[in-house]
Amino acid sequence: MKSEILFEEGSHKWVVLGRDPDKRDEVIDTNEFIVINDGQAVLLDPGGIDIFPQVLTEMTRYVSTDQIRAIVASHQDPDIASSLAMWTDLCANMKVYCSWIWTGFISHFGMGTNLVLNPIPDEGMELQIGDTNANLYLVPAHYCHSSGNFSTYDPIADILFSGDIGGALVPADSPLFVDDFERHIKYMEKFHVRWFSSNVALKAWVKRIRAINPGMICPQHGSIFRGEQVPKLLDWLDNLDVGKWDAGAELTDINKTQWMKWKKR
Amino acid sequence: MSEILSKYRSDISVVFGIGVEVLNGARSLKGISLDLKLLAINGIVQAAKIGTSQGQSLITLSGFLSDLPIQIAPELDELERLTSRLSYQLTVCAIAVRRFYNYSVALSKIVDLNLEKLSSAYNANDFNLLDIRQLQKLHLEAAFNKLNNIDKETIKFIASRNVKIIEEINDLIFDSHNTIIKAKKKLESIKRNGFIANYMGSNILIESSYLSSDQKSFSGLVNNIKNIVHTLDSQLDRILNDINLGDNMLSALIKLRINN
Repeated sequence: MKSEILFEEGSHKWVVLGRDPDKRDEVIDTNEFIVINDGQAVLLDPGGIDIFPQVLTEMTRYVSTDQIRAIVASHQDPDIASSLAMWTDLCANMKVYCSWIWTGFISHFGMGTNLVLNPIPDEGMELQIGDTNANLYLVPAHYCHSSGNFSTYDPIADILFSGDIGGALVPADSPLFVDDFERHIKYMEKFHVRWFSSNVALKAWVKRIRAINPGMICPQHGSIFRGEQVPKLLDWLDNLDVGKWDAGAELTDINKTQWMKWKKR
Repeated sequence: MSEILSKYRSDISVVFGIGVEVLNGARSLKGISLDLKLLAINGIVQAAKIGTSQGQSLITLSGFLSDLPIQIAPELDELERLTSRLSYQLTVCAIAVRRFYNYSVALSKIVDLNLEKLSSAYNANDFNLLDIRQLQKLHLEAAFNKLNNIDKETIKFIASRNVKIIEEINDLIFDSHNTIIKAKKKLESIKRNGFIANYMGSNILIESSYLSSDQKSFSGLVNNIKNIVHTLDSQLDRILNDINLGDNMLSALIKLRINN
């Protein structure tokens, strides 16, 4: 697994882990993020259980397990939450946060451990990094794509971790940062159109993020947006028509004959 | 190391599958027992129609037979309880092995990462990361002498976590092994009752051979009893085979731990 420092100023640091060459081909590639302040860290979307060994190993380059104070799961997907029990088992001084609607569901990943989840209310919350003076802000991103979903904003680094929003299924040799937005669209369009279910929710999220105006948007999959790529991404999302499982077709019209055949049976 | 671990993990999954098979087998025995009871009752009814002293002895024999399912019912309940517990224990064990597998792979990678940092000639394969004694003093190995304290502590911490999980898995495997032995004893006891049922069936056949009429219906009844006892026996043998296989695999897993 590769890692790179995205931001470093004083004791404050952002690290991205990802582009794992050791992972099985069937396992979707994910980005994991570590926010470190004054030797205390928060892990954002720690990844699935299949890549846990790689994430843990790469993470120890920057922080040890006893420095992890919190994990934030942006939503409930297995590529984020299935490793949580492994982390809680390992990091005694750590709390796990996820949307209140998912606590009961994510608990199914307990694997025989005492997986305690701290619910994030729908309106979001402020999260202190350990006992430092630094805070992260959990911004509502509901229905983008999950019905209980949060982005994480760090005002010190001016970085927004967006979860699946802006995510792309990129080739393994793609650059860490998006350099050509138009070319990048093909890697993320189908993903957003299919996975995201609400134009209203997506536009509301874009509005929220425009108000924050972050310098960098880091998705859980694919490349990172910075500088001029950030407003390009927001504009693109604002105009995207999502919630379709076959681009352009109306759900009720698709395979109508097939539906009728099933009904006759 | 990863080959041994992968095999360990897949063996636990196989044992888990066996546990489920045993549980299903134990549950199916209840149905067979009910069939036996219904046949015995049928025997009593037919014998009552005869009305002679021979009919009376057939009623007594069929009565014995109909009592058998009642007698073995608590044993079947106990077998179901034991096999349910076995399935549960093996599930917990399989999950713990999965955790252990991931932590072990992580430890191996962290060891390699740190040895690379030191440009060491050693790598993770030079250490037995499945051995409790090795894990307990891993951070003190000469190969790590030049590591800083934070990295040494990380190795020490993850190794100690692995020791804890190995101990947890061993406890679970020993518990499963004890449960499997109890289930085996219970099965053997149920098998003895099957033998008695067969014996009763033979006696009913002998007794009914003196009858001038109704003999045919009794031989049909006895055939059905024998068939059911045969089904019961085959099912018990199948469960016993599964249990023996599970027992052997668990013993091998315990030995793997001791050898390492």
